[in-house]
Amino acid sequence: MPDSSPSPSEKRQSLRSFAEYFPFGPAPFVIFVLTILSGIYLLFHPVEDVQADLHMITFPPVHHKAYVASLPKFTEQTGKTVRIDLVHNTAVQSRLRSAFWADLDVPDLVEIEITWAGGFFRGPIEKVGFVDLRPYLEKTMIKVNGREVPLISQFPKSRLAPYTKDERIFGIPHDVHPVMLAYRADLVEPMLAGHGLTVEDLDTWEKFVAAGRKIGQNNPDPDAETEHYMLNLPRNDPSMLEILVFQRGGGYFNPDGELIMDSQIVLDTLLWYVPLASGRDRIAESPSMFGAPWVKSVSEGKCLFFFCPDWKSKSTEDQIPSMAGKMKLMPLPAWKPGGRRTSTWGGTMLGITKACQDKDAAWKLAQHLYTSKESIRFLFKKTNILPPFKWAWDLEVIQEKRPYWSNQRIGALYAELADDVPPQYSSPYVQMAKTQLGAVLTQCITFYEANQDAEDIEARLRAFARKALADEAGYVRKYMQRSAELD
Amino acid sequence: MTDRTWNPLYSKRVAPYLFTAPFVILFCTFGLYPLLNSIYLAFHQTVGPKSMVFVGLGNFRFLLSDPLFQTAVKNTAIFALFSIALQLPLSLGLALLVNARWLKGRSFWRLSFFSPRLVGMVFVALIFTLIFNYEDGMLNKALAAIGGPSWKIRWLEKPAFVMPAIVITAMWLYVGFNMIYFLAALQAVDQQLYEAADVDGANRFQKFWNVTLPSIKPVAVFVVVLSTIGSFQLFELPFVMFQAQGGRGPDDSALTIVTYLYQTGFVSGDLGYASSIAWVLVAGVLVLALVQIRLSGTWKKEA
Repeated sequence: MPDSSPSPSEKRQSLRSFAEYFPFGPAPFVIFVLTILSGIYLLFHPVEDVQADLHMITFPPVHHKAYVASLPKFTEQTGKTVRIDLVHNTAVQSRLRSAFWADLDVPDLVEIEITWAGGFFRGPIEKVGFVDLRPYLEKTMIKVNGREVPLISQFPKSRLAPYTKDERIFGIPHDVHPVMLAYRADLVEPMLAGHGLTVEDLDTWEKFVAAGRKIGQNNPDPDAETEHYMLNLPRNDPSMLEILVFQRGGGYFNPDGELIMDSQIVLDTLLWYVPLASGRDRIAESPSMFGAPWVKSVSEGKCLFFFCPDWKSKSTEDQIPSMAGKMKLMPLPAWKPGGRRTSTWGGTMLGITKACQDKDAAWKLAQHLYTSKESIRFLFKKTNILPPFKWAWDLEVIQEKRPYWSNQRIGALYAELADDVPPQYSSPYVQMAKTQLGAVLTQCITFYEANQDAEDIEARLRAFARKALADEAGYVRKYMQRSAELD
Repeated sequence: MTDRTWNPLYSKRVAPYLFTAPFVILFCTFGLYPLLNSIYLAFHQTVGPKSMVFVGLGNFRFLLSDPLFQTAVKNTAIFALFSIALQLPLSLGLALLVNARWLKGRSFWRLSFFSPRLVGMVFVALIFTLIFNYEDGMLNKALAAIGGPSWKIRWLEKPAFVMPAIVITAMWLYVGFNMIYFLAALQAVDQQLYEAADVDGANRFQKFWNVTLPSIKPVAVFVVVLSTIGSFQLFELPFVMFQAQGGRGPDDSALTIVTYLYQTGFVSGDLGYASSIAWVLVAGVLVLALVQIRLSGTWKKEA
């Protein structure tokens, strides 16, 4: 019996005639087919859109992990479902700004990094996109030592300052971030012992630098490699300079929002910093404070000490596991005997946006994530971040000995310093001031390295630094002046 | 027989609009509208998420006296100058090399020189950040091996070395890419011209100068204009290589016009000022491109 089905060549022929019949021939036909096929594919593979009562955005992966783990309990208690998205820090700024601008896709709650927070408080106060949380903080009572106290009283004042504008509190602090010095105990202690010193003796920066000159193996020969440097001090990034400035009571802005980045404190700190971070007689190196160069500098003992806020202690544990049992923490040396032994580096706020439809539920979520003991325990284990509430500092998990840190109770060590953490004041121009301070630091280091042999280098560096600070601060003031009317 | 005229789908007048409609709609929504809106914004000062006031030419006046903008223009111009002065001769040289009949494995070399362009720019920037690392970077290891530790350079830390580092990175990315344009142009040169030059007794250099260069001139002009525009749009490389300084580099040595635009618009939230920077950039690039085309005489020839 003959086969009545068309042969392959006949099939091809009929497809070709159909394609030719299509307007403009086979090419648009192919485009049309592809459109239909891709449309069908997308129709059956939609992007997952998790619907929830509350939508929150956070940027640190550890926060995200901890929060997501604690959500089932919140849903069980309140019946509210929550979606928490992890978004990169830089993207949080641009996306949130765009969302506010367009009134579109604004999340209910959002975590923002401290240096960026002020930027969201620009413009007339009634147009700020965040809810004033002061009434919530004053109304919410918590039990401390058997007594009911308002939640607001439990934050160190220094931590509310960055998120406050005109008495309105737009964010609650997630942390305190006291800073200590982390060091390679296995190397530093024997080295200091060789000079009849212990780490406890290094209680002022003067003594610290003097010890650094003894144990850092500096060599005037430019071709010789120095084996150990006392400290990690970046040459361009002003973050460590900023820590030292805060420790001395300085900063970028005062409580009245006036720029003070060219104050005497900043100048003096800069003049102390530059010769330690650059030039032949430096006791510090700048292998970066993050990533592979930092890991290498610690594991090889190139930089013996580095600035270590609570969050950095976790990065150290995670990224340099080989240093377990070899590391220790000590309070920062003071600028003068008996002075402040800590500073602060970084911070995060949680804000509720005005777009939020159920602000009370959002506040409950904020409380659940930030103040519940379970959440604090979980988060501390995952991040080493000390919560900003004094009552939480006695929790067992915070008092635990940590084998990585040579069995030091690092939570307790940070908590001891937390009350003395210096304040940072909010301004929309903090980021700009920080960038300009970074420029001053680079200029001063370049100047110092070019002129370090001059007899009057100290005086010349002072004059240069003063002018550089004045110039860069002048730029920030000019920019602020331009926006003054709208701020 | 089917009558095709009754259905608008079959009409040659309607169909083109239907086919271009998706692009036109998308372009108007995501291209034209933002473009027109940015003109509006350029005459306003925006602060924060919701505040905006009309300032007339205020943004442009501030721009003229803004030292950071001046630094950005200077850095971008230096980058553009070096990109054109170094990249293009190298691209042409490579194109001549991989076009030479005596070269064995020409396809392999063509692909090899072009392949850096296949790597994502962010990835390249990250790789070069490691290559330029002071302590353990490949480049400094090589320099130290030749001349000792004092030969090591703080490529990404000293302002004087920042732009050379970016130029080197960009060269690695684009030399092979531009080579492809020159290669296509070289392959299109009429061989009879070379034969005629041979008859006239021209040497290699004379043939290159009098035959090759004039023949590839339109492509060379195109590459110069494209490279200039590309250079003035420099953003990703410095942004990733100098993340710690928000892409600005030590003492703003890596600050480019687009980085400054980004900083102003998306970090400071001043969309009005950022828009004015964008329009000054557009005007500048347009003028430069017109000057280049005018100087090359391309228009005259076409006229």
